[in-house]
Amino acid sequence: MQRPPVPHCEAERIGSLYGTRLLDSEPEERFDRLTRIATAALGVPIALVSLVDTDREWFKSNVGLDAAEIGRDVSFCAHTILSSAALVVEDASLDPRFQDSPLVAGEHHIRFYAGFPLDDGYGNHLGTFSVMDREPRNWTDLDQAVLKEFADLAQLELTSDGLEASVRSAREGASRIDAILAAAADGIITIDEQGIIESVNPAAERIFGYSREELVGENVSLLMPSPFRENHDQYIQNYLDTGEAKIIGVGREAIGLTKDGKEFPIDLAIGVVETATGRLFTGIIRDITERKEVDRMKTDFVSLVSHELRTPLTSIRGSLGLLDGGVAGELDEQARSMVRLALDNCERLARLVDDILDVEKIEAGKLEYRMETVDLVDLLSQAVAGNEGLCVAHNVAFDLTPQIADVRVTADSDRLIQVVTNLLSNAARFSPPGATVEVSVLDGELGPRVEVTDHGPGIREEFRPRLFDKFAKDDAPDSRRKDGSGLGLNVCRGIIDDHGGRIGFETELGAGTTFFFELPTPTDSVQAPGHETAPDGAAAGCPHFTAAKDGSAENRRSP
Amino acid sequence: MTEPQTVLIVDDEDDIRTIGAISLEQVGGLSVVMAASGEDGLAAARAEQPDLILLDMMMPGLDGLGTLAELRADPDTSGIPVIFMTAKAQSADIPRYIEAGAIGVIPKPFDPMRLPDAVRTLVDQFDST
Repeated sequence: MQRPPVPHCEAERIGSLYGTRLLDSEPEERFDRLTRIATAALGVPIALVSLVDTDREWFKSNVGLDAAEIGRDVSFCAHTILSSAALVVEDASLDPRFQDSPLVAGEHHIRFYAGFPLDDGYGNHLGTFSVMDREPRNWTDLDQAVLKEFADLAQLELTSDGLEASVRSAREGASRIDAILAAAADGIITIDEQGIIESVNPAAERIFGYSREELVGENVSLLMPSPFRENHDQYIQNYLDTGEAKIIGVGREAIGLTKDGKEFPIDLAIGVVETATGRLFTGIIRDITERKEVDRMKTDFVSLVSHELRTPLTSIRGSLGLLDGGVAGELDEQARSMVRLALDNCERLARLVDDILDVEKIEAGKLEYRMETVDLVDLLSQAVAGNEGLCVAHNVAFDLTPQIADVRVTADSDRLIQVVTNLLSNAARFSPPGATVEVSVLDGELGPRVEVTDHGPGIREEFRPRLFDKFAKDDAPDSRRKDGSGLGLNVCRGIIDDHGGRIGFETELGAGTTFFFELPTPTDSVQAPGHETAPDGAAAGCPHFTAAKDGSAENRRSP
Repeated sequence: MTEPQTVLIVDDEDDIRTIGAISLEQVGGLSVVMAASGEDGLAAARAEQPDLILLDMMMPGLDGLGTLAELRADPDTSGIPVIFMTAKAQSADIPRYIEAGAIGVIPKPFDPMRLPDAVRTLVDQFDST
């Protein structure tokens, strides 16, 4: 006996077979009728409608064979499905493929077999229509033609059943989608190319206050206030004409209009589906009234808290400032140092309040910038001069050495000074006494690059990934004394990002840290006369520094 | 205008008015009148004709911007320079305050030892424009 080979595309064939849901189903008269008549018409004791499963041949209809299924390895039909032609074995006892099969050698005593494959309509042979006899037979062309007629009838039943299954499955799919649409919390509306509403789900009815009947067939602009209402047809037309989608595939905020004429904020996402009759647009609508209200309350709260904190701070800071200034009489050394302590902490608290307000504004995209052309070196000089107090407090020196001159950027100068101040303050706080903090300006990848380098302890590896996070503070035991809010770098990153730049650092334990930021070169960059940009971007005649990989600065002269 | 002599402080916070007054009088050598609301500030400005007004931005009732608008609308007070004091100073807001007619902004908290100088600097800048 030879094991039947496995057909090409067996996985697809099995998938299709399972899709018919016929395996192990109840007997059906539409198949049984065929096998019954076939035995009579062809004068054979056995006629079968078989389905060939992964490891068995199962009989959907069976006249004359005392079995519900047989192993695929001993099956005649497993051979029949290998081609589109009939398989005829006139005497199996003489055929090496079958002669030692249990069907032939065993109790079933099969000698004759003739069968046609049955397919799923896509070329996958799922099973066979076959007849068998316990005696060898001379199989005539007429016999073959009659068997073919039966096989064709079985084929029709099999395929029509597949068709029904497809329709059933499509119907089930559709009702499943209906169930999902009905349960969705978001409104879902489909419109055609003319903007006419084809379907709405219950959430859309609820959100807009219309019934389904009132909406289907109406133009979707009904659900929008002016000027969107008037322009909506044009939006669709533009898309159909140009294929350029302003909002297809991307969510955005928009305004909806209820039946009562109330406008409300929505999140709108639009998808487009190509169908045989044209394009359909699907809009998914979420009412974000509540979210907007929460956002507004949060902003108001932060703003209120900030104001409410700053008012008493103004009084405390003012009183301490007057005491410290000797307005209420000269203080002795101890009293003065205590007042200074209170004053420093008062300023720290004021900075914290400012930082919190900035973080909130940056996150909400509500920090406003006053952009102007700024001379970067001038700005750095201002920032360094404005922070001389830090030098005294931390016993450090600031050394500003611009390696390129006449660098102009487009920036909000106050915000940029805030960034530099933050970097200077960090560098001063982490510098050993007597050290110098170097500030340089050089050419970066994006445009001008500002570097602030300290010779402090460096940043621990564990802390590096969190450095720009909100409230990031290194919790190593020796880091606690360096008081800071942990918001400064987060604010710096927000401001530099909003300028289209980038911020980062290079650090080496025990050697120090360089924080840098780069700003994009303004497109209408103005260069001062006599300082034309050299080919490599360095100002002609200026000594040029490049940062070496280890973070140390390496001097080279530009050509 | 040259050196201001009399400054009107309008702020609803008693403590801040007091500190401002001590600072301007004792550190800056100026004379100070005070008002606790925008409405009182308008009356004081008309009555006292100060050389300068330090005006709090956030006050219940008539706020800083409202008070400034009324000062500018009244010929008796329209020429008095006004400096806003605000706990909400954002650099991007300052042009708006200047446009409204203030000559400058002093953010809160302020350093009372430097307040008189800060005020004089703003007045000098205004005079030179």
